[in-house]
Amino acid sequence: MTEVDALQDALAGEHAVIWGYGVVGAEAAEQHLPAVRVAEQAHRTRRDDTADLLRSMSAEPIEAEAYYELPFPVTDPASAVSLAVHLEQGAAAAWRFVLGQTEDAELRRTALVALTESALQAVQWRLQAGIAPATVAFPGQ
Amino acid sequence: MGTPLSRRRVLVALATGVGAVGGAGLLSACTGSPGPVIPTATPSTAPDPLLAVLTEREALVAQYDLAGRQQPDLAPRLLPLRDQTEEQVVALRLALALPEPSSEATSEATSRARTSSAVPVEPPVTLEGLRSSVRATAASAAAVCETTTVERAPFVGSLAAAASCHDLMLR
Repeated sequence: MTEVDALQDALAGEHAVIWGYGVVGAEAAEQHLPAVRVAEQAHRTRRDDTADLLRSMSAEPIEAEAYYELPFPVTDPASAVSLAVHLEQGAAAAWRFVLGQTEDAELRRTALVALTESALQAVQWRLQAGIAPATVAFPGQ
Repeated sequence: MGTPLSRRRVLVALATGVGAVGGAGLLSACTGSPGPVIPTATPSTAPDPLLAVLTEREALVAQYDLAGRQQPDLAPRLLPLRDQTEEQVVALRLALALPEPSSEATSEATSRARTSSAVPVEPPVTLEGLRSSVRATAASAAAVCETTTVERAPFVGSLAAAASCHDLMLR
């Protein structure tokens, strides 16, 4: 796999996370909506930056799908927060994977920032969900 | 793309913790108790940069232990962070192909620690001091992540991210 392939996978992940946050927002408790919007916007920015990066590498960024399968039913605020945790864990894993597909220091910095931000957001959602401990030893693994 | 998994499946893959569609194979190869199996570096005369990451985290575990003894009310908050840091130490020793510390050495260290708790000669450990140490471990792991091998980069990046999360929990 090339670093372009890895970035395309990470971009596909960002598309899926943005779609997933739409579901989270539909079921989340009112007090969580501002945090949902902030988290979703962070992924929209990352999606756009990743697409720009791919174009700079002469690659055509992949498009989002119209629909994604949910891993479990999201029917209430609790399951909405659970989905948010899983989305961020998945995004962290995608960017962790990019780290091993390139020797370019700048791309590694980009991937590490993305991995770290998703790991931090996952911590915030775990705290909201009352999951203890809120941290994990190896984010993205 | 190097993988046949459809993009529609990505959300499921993400949400089940598989991670990047192309990363499933690598991830499964790197998981397992107590930590990831990381290929060791090619022998070199220069010190392995991962050694410094290990040394910092070993010192951090000791700092958590000391903080827990000095301020028992903080122990519930610190214990998960301390235990996860110890998991990272175990994984780092595995990555560096270092032997596990002997039980005698551990026992001696524990004995020294108990003695020292009876005679408090160590400086007090504050939350701010812990945060400073945690931030230092994040920075050094991030620096190593930029230049290390492709085999180690995901592991070291994960260590950097973990330290940033621990920093958040100490605020």
